Amino acid sequence: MLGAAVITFREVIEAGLIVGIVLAASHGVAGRGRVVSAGIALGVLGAALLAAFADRLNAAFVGSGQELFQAAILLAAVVMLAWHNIWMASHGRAMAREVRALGAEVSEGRRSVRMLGMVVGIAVLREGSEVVLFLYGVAAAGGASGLGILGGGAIGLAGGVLVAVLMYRGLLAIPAGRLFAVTGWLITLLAAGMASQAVVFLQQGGYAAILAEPLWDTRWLLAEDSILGRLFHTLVGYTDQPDGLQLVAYGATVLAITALARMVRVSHQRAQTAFATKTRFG
Amino acid sequence: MELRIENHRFTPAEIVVPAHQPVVIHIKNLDATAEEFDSSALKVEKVIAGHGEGSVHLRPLAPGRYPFKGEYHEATAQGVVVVK
Repeated sequence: MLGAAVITFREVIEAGLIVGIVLAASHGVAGRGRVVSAGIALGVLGAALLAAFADRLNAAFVGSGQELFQAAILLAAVVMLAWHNIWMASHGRAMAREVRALGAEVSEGRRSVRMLGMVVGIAVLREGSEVVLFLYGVAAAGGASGLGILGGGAIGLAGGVLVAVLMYRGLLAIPAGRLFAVTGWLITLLAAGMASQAVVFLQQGGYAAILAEPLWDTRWLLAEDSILGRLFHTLVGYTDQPDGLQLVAYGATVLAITALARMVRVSHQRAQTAFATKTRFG
Repeated sequence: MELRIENHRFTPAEIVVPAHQPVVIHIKNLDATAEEFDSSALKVEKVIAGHGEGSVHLRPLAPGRYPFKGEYHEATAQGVVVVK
């Protein structure tokens, strides 16, 4: 039972952290609880379907289709996280002051939250499919020990929920004025870590056999496989043996998101200033 | 290189590959339930469905021992890639 709890917990930690960050990042937007819950529900459904049809999908996935799928959904999540940050760059200040019903801003806020909801769904799908396959295999083996192991799985899941709650509460302790700057950075690093992970899948699938040599090895410091290592792996994209292509993907993602967000923020401020000037003297 | 999963064990448990060359491992899961082929040393992580198969591409490796495991049945599913 303990073994099943640990294995399940290790898988759901990543999704739990992402749910906590997304909830904090969307704090104040109306209806975001529903959107995130929908993301989780769809992710669970998708995970169950993926696991149930693993046999049939295997014909398509034989060889390296699975790696392409994993890289594709990770990169989709990267784009959605980037989109959210870029949206926040133009509307962040309004968000921090409690969103009123401002028409276009609210609907754009909802679109941005739907993006985050999809990121949650993707994370739950990825981790959930592994959990479902593991627990199904155990349940198929049957017997009294099977029930104990399913119980262990439930405990592991509860641990994942705890991680989400702790992350969310911890972030909300940050003063409202700084909260969105902090979640903005967390989302940027989350995205960069996912881009780095996508690269590893592409290399594993034989689609990107370049710059694959690990540049350093910090397993002595923190093993990526450990619980703490997995936390940092998700939060900041920590990996104990990064290769060149991973570093390029990581750096490019951070640069792209911060540069695009800055460009949008500056252009938005210019538009606001021009509008204010025009209405004053027009 | 061929690798089989049977009764939650890897056969062969030790794979020898040449150094500094990319290698592809074809994994066949003869069990009814899924296994996750996992190795942080090899930077590889892949789920193989029950009665399924899949391939993983290894980067060119320096001589040494690179352990791998089946994450769903760690107690019995252990192996190592020996690079010479």
